[in-house]
Amino acid sequence: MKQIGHLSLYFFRKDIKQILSFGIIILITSLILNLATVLAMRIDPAYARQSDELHSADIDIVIPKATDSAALSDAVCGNTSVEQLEKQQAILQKAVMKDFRGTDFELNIMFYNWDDKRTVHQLSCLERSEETGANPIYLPLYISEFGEYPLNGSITFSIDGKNFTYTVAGVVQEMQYGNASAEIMGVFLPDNQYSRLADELQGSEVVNYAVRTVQGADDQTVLSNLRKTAEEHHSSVLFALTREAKKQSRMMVTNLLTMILAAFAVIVLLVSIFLCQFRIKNTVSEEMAQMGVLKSLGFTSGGIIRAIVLPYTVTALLFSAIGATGSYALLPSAVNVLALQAGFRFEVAFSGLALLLTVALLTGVTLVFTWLASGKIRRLHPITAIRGITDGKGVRKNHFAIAHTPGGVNWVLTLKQMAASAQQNVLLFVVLFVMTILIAFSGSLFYNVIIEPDHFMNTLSDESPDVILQVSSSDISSMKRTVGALDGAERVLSYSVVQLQVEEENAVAFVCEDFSKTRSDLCYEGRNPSSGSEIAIGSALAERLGCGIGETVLVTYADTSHAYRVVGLVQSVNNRGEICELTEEGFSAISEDKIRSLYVYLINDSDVDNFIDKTKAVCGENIVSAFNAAKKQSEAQSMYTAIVNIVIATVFAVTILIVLLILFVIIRSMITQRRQEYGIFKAMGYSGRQLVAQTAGSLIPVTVLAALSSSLLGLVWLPAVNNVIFGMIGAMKNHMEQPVSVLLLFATAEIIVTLLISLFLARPIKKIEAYSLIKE
Amino acid sequence: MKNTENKNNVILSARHLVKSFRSGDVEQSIINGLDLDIHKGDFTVIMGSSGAGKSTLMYALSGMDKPTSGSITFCGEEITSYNADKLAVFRRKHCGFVFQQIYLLDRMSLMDNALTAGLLIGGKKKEIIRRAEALFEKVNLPEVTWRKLPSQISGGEAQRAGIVRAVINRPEVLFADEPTGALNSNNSDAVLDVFTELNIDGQSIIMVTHDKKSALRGNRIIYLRDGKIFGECHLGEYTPDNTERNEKLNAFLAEMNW
Repeated sequence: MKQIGHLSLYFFRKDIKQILSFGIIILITSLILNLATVLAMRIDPAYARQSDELHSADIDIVIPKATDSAALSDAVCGNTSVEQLEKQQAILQKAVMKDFRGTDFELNIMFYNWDDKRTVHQLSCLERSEETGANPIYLPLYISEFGEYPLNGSITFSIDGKNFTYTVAGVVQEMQYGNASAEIMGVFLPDNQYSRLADELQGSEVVNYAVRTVQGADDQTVLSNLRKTAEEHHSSVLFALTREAKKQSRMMVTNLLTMILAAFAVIVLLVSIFLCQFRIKNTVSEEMAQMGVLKSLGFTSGGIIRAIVLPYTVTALLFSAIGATGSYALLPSAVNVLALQAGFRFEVAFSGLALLLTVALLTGVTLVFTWLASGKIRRLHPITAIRGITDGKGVRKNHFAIAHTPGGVNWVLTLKQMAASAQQNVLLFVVLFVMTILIAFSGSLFYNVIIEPDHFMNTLSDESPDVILQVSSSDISSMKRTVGALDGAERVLSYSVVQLQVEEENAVAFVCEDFSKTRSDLCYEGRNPSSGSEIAIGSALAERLGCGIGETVLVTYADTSHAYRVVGLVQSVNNRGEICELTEEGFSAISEDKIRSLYVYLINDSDVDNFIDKTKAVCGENIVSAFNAAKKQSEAQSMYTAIVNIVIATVFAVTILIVLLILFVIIRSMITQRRQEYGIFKAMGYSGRQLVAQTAGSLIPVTVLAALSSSLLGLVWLPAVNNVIFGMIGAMKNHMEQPVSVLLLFATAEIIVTLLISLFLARPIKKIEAYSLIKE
Repeated sequence: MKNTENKNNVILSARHLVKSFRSGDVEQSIINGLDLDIHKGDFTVIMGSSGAGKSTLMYALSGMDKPTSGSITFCGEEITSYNADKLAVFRRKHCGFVFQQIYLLDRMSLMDNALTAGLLIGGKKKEIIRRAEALFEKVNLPEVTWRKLPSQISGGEAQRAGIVRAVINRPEVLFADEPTGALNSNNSDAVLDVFTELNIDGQSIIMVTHDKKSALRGNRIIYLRDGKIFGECHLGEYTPDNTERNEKLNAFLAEMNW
């Protein structure tokens, strides 16, 4: 055993730099893998724990206060699946939050009474101001942190043209309506402020039925039953969400990130497997004579294999442990970003199990693959080994005969060098092919988010005009003409977003005079409605109602219902597919109210503020509010651009690091194995520069092949990946494109970087002296 | 073509040549202030006991290794100040090497080994291929062998291919380090015959050897001891059966206590 230890130390010392390169790759893998494992293992329980601690409801149903009754609550309580019901008073209004992260943000806001006692959906106060200023308000974490409304700062809600300004008196953590994905959020006003707002907004009061179900109940079924109960008691459901639906919308980014991290870790792990196999096979061939001597001295094949495998296994063990431990340094930052999006703070504590799994997986995989790679030692006869059966002796073919290959001698020698290294070519091809997948994905993001942002934004957003005007004038047609005639206006559409019911499901309805004139086409199957009897419904509705194109659905708004024929399926990421489209004519069948919002599209969207001023000056009091939608879109776009820039920079940095490490190992192995060959070339009169160029050049054909084939294959798999990713968040049709030119541009950048790294790493060839041939 | 006496035909000259190696704290001199002129057309043989500095001298003269001090002049041009790239260009244009271990590139056929050197200095590919073919024929390697890999031929064939590679660029000097050291008797004779033939055609040769039979092929014998020229002997023109040269060499080597 002691001898094996000494021998192992010898192999470690001999290959120390290459083993360390392998170690760094294992460290990166372990860091990413542990991060993904910890997130996957800890966040769900953290969410569940937080929900349990705050005694969260399993179902929330919002109904108008006017339609609430004791009979309804008795009926709800009478449902055998309902364990507990708590009715919570609130004011529900569509409000614009002014200066939300630098822009105006419109959302359905539930104003709750802070002083109401809660047993369900309890609130956990994260921060509270010592001074209670005028008009205090308590904000959920998402609005406070993501919207950038700090403690003691002010927040203004604009409701129907009226501004309500409050001072942030505290920040709470709650699991009810915690982030914007659900399209509804709760804020909390002390009793005085609540009463005052209720007086101001007569008729906006609602009741939130916070329902806790019995263990094992299917919340979706219970919700459907409760909807029927509400209907039977002549109460309309304004909003309804199950705990699972809330969780999905809150954890969407977290789950996506976890998946991406895990996929990334697998890719890097594949690279490290190939790398250690390559290195071990090279060690066997470089140390063949020594192995023959060892065998002749009585070492067994198993002993030698153990000595070779040990340094890699120990390195994998150490570096995976360091990487997994190091991931905890990144975890708080990752958790903060995710918490900001998810709208609740969670502690991710050290997970011994995650660390154990990460380390065991990486060490185990290393052990298995190094063991397999060193199997050749068993077949090695001591005398054959001592005589030194070098690679050259195994050569059977003279690739690229100089006399018959066109081109100069340096070019032909480059080809020869390439052809002589099948193993290294396979390693390089696999690594670059895999890394190019990431590069191609970055290229696709770069094009669709930065060069052609409409592709990305139109996939994610609903209709996005430049200006949204809320008007009070009853003569909408005349207002449309006036606004449309203003300098800079391209077109004006009557467009409104209302809440209604399709069969028994709640849905957001987009009502428009003519969908063919909108900027975003939300329809992914069939067509948009064009007459008063037609409707297009969202994917989630279609699935839940089991209803397709050609069928008829009953739509209810307030107390009026009307049947429409489904002509298309539409998507909406923001509303998770719970949407529908109606024409203005169609909407008039269920509502006598005229549409009072106008979507204005400008010729030049950089001059929106001026246009709004002009509109206000011309239309005066007929304008209730004017919303710079282009600015909101641009803000969102700049956020996505920043994220994509980070993604691209990260992918490139990791790719360069991995390619650098792989090339280091490959070129180092080449230099070690071909030291004598380089000496012979130098004796003949080849300069160091020529040999460096030949060596780096011999890697180029494989690099080009891997980068180009992987990039071009991106044309096939990128649309599929985009379909999966966007489909997961409700965008059944995405507008992402994969132009060949961008993919090739990114692949070219990768090839150039690889060439430069190869030239840099091959520089030690210059130091090999022709005379070293003789000295050795 | 023996030009030993013609002082104007000096192609390679060493003055006050010193080569030393550091081993730990100890500096060991291998060549100690040596002066030497090599004449065009000569077949110079460097002999001496192990560690006398024979190979060190030869590789210093050829620009393969840099001397510690002193100067080496090739055709009137000082080469000791050349950097690695300039020395590479110098070697490719003016020197050919034949090694004891042969050092053919084992992934290439014999023809490619020759062309790898031949095409390095430029020229028309077809002409260089023809020249390589002529040289292979000259060293008695049939066409079928040219396409073989070094691992598929005998040591003697490999060394003859090594000679073709060394002389394909028509070097001013052919340096040979124990060229028969790894060969059996028959193969040795064949290789030495090639050297003799080349020399008769005017090729200047510097050969390091331990072997008396090989040394007999030269016309000038230099005996090194402790890094200095200890003795020198001129054998005259080579003939296959020359008892006089043999006796002269024996006497010289006896004088050198060899």
